[in-house]
Amino acid sequence: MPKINPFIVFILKRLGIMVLSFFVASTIMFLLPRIIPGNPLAVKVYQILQQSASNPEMIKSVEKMLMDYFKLDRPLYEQYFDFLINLLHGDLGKSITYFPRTVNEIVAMYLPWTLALLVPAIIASWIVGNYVGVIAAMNRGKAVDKVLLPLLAALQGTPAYVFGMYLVLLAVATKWFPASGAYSPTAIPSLSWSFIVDYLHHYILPFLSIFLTSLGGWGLSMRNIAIQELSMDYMDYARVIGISPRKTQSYLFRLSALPQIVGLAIVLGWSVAGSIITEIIFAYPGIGTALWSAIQAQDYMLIQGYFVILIGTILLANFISEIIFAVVDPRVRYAYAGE
Amino acid sequence: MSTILEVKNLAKIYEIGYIRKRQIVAVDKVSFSVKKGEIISLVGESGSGKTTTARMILRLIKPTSGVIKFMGRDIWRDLRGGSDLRWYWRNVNGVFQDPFSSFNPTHRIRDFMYRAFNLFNEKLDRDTKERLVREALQMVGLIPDEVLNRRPFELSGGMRQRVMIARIFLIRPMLVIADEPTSMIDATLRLGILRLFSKLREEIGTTIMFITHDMGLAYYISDRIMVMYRGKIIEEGTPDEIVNNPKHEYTRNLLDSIPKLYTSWFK
Amino acid sequence: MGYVVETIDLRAYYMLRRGSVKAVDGVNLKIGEREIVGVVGESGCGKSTLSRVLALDFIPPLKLVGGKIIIDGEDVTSIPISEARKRIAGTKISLIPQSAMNAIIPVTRVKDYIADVVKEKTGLPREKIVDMARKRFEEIGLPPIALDMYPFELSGGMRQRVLIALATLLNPSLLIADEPTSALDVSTQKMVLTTLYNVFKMGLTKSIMFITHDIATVRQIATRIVVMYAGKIVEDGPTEDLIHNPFHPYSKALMFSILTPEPEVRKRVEQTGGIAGEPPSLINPPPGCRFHPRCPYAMDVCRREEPPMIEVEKGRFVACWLYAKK
Repeated sequence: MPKINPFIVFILKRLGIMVLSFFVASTIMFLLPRIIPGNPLAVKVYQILQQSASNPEMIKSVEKMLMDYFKLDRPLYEQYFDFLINLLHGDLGKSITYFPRTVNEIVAMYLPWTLALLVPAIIASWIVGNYVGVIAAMNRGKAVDKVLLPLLAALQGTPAYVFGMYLVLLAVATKWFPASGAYSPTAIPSLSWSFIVDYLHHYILPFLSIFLTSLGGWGLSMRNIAIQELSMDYMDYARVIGISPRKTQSYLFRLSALPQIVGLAIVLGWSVAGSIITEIIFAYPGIGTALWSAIQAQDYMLIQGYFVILIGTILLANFISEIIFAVVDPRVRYAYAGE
Repeated sequence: MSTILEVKNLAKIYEIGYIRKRQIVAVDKVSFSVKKGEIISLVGESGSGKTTTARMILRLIKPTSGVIKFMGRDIWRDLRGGSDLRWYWRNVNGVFQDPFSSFNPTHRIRDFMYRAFNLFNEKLDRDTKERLVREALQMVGLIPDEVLNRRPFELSGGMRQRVMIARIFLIRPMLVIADEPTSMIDATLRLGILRLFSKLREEIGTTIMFITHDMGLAYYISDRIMVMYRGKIIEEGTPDEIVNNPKHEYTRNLLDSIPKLYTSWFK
Repeated sequence: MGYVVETIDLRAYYMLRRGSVKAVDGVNLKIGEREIVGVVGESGCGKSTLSRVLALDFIPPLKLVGGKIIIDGEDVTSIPISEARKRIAGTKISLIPQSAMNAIIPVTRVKDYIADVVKEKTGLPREKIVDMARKRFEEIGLPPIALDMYPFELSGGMRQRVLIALATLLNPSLLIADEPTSALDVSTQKMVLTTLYNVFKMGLTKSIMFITHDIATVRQIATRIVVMYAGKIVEDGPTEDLIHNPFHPYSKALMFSILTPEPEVRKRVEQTGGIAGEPPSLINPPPGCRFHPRCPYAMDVCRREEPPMIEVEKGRFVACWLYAKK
């Protein structure tokens, strides 16, 4: 049998696990509202029925339409089949509260705002946090570290939304920054310069609350990893053989960044979940706010849809992080291929 | 003199991988026997299978095939349950290479020694236990008061190894398996440790099986040497036979590669 | 002919809170050109610290407390350490420390690592450095393909030899190897030892300082043996003389502790061998001769005064009151 490139084997295995996990998780999401005693999904659907209809004939046709769509009178396995087929087509169904608008439509309205806020904040905090962490590690015990360590710890320990609340208070008190919204109530989203400036003005505080608190976490973990690495034989030898401190620092980065890359990919995956509370505090129209409304409205289709997307993204992020790790650290490639 | 350990066609094969399985033969149908009171050595380089063999005899790794009989009992098939195993480990015990990692760093030496009493069937009172522990420590040349209340990291490697041997003096097993007991110890202290093993055999009649890569050590302490290579025993004999008249090419190469004190390869 | 390295009353201590560990305490050592000096002793005698000190690798808590180090005629203790290090590291003195198994950064290929190191010192372009490395590998019998590999893909013996190649790439005056063969199999040990000897014979390094507790190994290539105990040199002499006829009681005990399958060793193991006791604490070493608590010949003067190092015969030095007239 010809020897398959062990790296390909590794990727295929991971891909397989990912797809499997996704289906298991989605199945659970599907089952929950339908098999909990009291069938909450059916209850919601009937509530639409009640709301929409005034006369009996309307009720009949609306009921037929809803049944056709939600198939609540069909056996569970048929519903599940339907669900799977739709899933494979990328159809996440229709929202209950906003029926007949599709989940995809609604998500498309909110998700980009969330990503625009979270992705740059996370990446920026990762870069700055890692840098600060390495500096702290290399100066361990000295003045620089004595300042940085408690600072990082304080930042990491503060939840983003608590920090956010303080920023809101700051905004209200000083009126330098608006305290809520992604843009002024009167502005209309467009690519015009004035809108972008307005958006950025609103953007700064939520951005800072996420950027600063995440930075703490990255900094601390990077500092720990770097301290570990600094005690290794090869760092000692690099010094002995006379490699310049700058080159040593770059080695240190490369060695310490590897676990952090995995962390980054995972956190980015989680960013789709939105910093729900932060968004609520700043009344920022992202997917977090949308999910919150959906939960309050008990719109199970919307919730289901969000979570399917969320799970998919997290699994994908996990998968990509493993690939990245293997590409960057050749030791991992060989270890996994050998198993 | 009777045979106390018998090993027949012992093998250990590791299988790696889920889809495409690879086989690694660590121990390849090894057979030998050990008589009571003998000191034998299993000599080989890393990867020869000697440590795996030792672990199987100590009942730490399960063999893939083959039979290990101690005092006529098959140790994998005839022993069941706690008291059987306790009997086994009371009679077959080990001394390991790294005196550092064998110890729980938070426990004192006294705790370590006392734990050996778990292998005993008889219940002893505190005073008896203390007396026995002190005697054992004295047998290995340690001063009990200096050692009992210490933690392992406070002792040097040589002292730690002596404590391990003191434990053996306490348990008095019939068979001791010593896996590289001196490789982490300075040369000047090695002879002292080896003399302790001799003492074990002389005073208590313990049978000892050394696992080592150090042919020099094996030469001085053993009644019989078995050379292992790639999972097989390729040569067996008395130390003089092996050193003066090696038959297998690997043994010859092994002996050639040992640096000698009174001659040099290059000059 | 000058000395490659000369130390005068060298003292280097580890400054700990509970006291200073006097690991190198008044060492006078001269290593000439074309010598292979084996430095032997039990663990904790200070030989590894000596190697670090000669490489000017003073990482806290290790501190240069006194004495001089003269490298190729230049007193490097009179100039700031960082500057001295830049001048000598890799070019005059090259150190291969213990546990060199993990010496190369794991995520770099061997050739990239070598290029990083050499570029630092010489400024040569990378391709040229890799070429040099390739040639050097061939000269000492290493497969050039190792250059393209990652360190973890190489066996222990190969890694050690790669380090020897790297350490001698810039033709240092002194190559210091600290326990280069200890973690290896016996057959690999011989291969590494041969490589070390070849590197010396080919003149890729002027002299070698070989630190080990394994006397049988080092004597294969050493021209001279230096015995250290508790931070001091107790005996120094040509290999053959010292091994067949050790003067200092500690050297005698060391020689008698060695177990190799040889007839001469067989004869004396039955009688003696091994030393009682353990090496002393380097924080509070015993007064007088540091070996006196374990010495079977200890006299009164040994407990009070440190013996001076004297030349008993041509080229043979001992620090022991049995030989110094008092």
